[in-house]
Amino acid sequence: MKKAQANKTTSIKRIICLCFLLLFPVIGIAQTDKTQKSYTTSFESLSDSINLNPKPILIKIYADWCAVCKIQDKKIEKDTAIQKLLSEKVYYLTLNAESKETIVFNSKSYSYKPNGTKSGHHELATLLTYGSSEYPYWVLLSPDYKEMGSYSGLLNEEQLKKVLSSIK
Amino acid sequence: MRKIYYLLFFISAIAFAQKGKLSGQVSGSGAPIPAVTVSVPELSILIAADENGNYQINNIPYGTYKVTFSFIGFETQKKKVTINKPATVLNIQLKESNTALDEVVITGTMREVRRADSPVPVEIITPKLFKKNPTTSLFEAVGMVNGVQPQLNCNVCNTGDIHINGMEGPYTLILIDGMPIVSALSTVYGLNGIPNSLVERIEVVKGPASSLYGSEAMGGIINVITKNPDRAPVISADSFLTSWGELSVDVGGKFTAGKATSLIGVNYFNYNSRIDNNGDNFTDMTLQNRVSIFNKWNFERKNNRVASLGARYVYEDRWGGEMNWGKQWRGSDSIYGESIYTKRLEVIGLYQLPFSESIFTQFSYNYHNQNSWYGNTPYMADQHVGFLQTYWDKPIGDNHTLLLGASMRYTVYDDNTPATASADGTDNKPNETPLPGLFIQDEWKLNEKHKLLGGYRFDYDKNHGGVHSPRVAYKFAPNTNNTIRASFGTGFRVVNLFTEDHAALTGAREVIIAEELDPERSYNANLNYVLKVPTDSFFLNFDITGFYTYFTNKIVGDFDSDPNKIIYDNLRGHAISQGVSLNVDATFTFPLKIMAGISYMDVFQKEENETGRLERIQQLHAPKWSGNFIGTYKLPNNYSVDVTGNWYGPMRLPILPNDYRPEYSPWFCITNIQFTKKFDYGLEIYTGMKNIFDFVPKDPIIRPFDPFDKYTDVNNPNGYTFDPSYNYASLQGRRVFIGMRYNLF
Repeated sequence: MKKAQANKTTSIKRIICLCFLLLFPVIGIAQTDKTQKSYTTSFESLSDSINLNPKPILIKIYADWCAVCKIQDKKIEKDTAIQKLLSEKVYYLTLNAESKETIVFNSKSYSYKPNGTKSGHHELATLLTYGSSEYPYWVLLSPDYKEMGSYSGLLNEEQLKKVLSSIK
Repeated sequence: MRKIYYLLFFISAIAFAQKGKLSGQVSGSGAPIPAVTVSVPELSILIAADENGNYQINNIPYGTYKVTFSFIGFETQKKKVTINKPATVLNIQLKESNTALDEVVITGTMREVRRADSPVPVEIITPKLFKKNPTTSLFEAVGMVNGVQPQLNCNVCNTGDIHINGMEGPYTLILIDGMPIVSALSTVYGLNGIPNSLVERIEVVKGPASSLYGSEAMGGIINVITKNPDRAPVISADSFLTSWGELSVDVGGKFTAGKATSLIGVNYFNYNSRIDNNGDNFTDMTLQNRVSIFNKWNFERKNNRVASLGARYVYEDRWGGEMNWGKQWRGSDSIYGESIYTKRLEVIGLYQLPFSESIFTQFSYNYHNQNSWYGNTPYMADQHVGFLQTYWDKPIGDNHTLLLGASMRYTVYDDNTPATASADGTDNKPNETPLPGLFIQDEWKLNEKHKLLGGYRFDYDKNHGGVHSPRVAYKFAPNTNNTIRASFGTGFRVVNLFTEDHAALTGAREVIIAEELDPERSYNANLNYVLKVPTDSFFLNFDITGFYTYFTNKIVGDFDSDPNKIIYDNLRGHAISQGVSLNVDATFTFPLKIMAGISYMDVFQKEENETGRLERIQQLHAPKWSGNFIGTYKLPNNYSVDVTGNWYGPMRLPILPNDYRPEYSPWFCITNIQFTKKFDYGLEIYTGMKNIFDFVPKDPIIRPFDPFDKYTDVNNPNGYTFDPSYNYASLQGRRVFIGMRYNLF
């Protein structure tokens, strides 16, 4: 009886220990929160920027759960040449397809459209991707907001450079 | 600089009055390529071809230019073109680039399994997971989730229940759109016939969730969220056939009628092969014939308000037994068979009240009828469950989301056993359980990193009085890559006269419910940590959970103390389910995707024995170690391979006294492989093999030659009786399958 009790206590202890051990990497890996990058443009400032200096618009549509999108971000974060191209050649914007914020884009207002009680899509993302939910979804627009091309999927460094360099 | 460029262009355009038009079509591999980028660098022109590959550039001053055509996946072409007339046509053939030919596009599509944002640990499973190993019912499909185990309890009729973290099926609450409509009687066969084309996603909570869902949410919940007709494909079909002769057909379609959209579907499953590979003269798998029809309507209303109404009807005829059984032997004692007819009707609805506040009313009704014979024992049962719930979803300020609701669940259960008859056995006395409840929940966003959730529910039951179910959950996300959730939850279950021991019930009996009978209760603590490791070449997601659940007040029906009574009372003792589970999910820049899960758990009961001491009893069918794995590799030309599997360590099995069969099952693994080819226009063909290592358990039935226990005293020194409950895996060995899916958007 006592032994069983002891066994039980040790097994609970073991589980608790395990859980605490697991918490440690948090401290090690904790890193600064990602905020707006220098090479990205916000939706708020886009129309002013474009009036001042017309350039094509490149939008990367992603979702929080999209692992490939995170790989894509890391690829861009590591490559200063791509960052330079992104800030020089285009206005680079990122759009969370499930964002709940209302976005004004090309003088029109777009908002989150719920689908049932827990899920939904942002109207602007639905418009730009034609309802596709394969991310990252890239859309290239001319300075007057006409679609010039789109692509869904991971772009490696060379492809991104090629696409960006070809924009005049 | 650019402005000057435009300006220069403008000036030059005026200077050269003569202008021409350049147009044409861009194609590749014999078909037009849409959205190809066409650029004339000298003129700062950059346009895209339309969806038919046509492009047109107007007002080009006469001259010679270099035009570039580029598109991802194709070799860029540069053409020199001289504009010296009003209209010039230039058609272009793009060659697919060699690198692109072998390259598979890596995209992030709907994750198979992900975690909800909530502080409460909720796992969201999309039908994409289930496509990796096609199954004939949701019951079988949920086994692909780590820690969720569909368990067959009978080798003849293939009755099953769903174990979450090792606890028995009655502790798992199955919901449809958040409503408890698959309970008690219907848990046995209720998960069959929910067609894939109706499922939007499935939410799994491992651990009690009574603070929101009330009675029965003691060990975990499985919440099936049905599809919104608006987002469903116009036509969808999924059908497959296995070498055992299992045929599954799932067809759905939608149409619009005025302001309403309707999704309609049919699911048909047929298995009619008498297969007896282990030579015990019993069918290895229960023969089934099942049809399920559903229809869901969505109504468009002002201000995006929600209104939907759905209905589903299921009819199933299943039987298992001796190979020479036929319908004429139903209920006889000469040839053994277990034959079950199930009829089930469900109606579900959701209506958002026309106020500026978000107030929703949900309602459901279901009728379940089971007409069955187990050998020569009949079991006839009816169950009606009505459910009505209204809740108010109220954000307060920026940081609070309050949920306030009231619900009423009314269950009527009636069977042919003395449990639902008057004491003298002459009158029928169906069991009626009204269960009103009130609940409140607040999700409080303390700041970007901290979230706290508190919930409380009060239910009133006529046998137990008031039942309180609190919950607290906390989420800490220091950054996007780390999330910790700590939660405490409670569960309860009211007394339920539905019993699977119906065979033991004969004669007239008085149902006695002990005074001060407590509801069954569970208390759970849960610690979850999610770590994301993004790099530029792979992405890893670790999800680890430690859990401890304490179950008490188990209610059992005592049939033996008094042959004239059934006494329902709380069992002295408790049960514990504790362990750790880990899920790993890996995505790479090459088209491989791996998911694997492993669970360690210790599940046992502490029951009072004759001497009054608590004795430890290991839980049946709860392996200490278990896990799953899913690997997907995409090949060029839209081919893909999926390998899926589940493995289990030894689990304790129900054995008879002096049984020759081992009390613990061996380690085993069920592995499946599937090849899929996707065609354009939404067609998919898939084929594969299930249980490729052909694992089949031994000795599933004891004394299969004497199913009516007629000769138990002949040559039977150990006093064995017929028993088909020794089960730990399906008796279906290796088999191949082929199928097709079609989706028209």
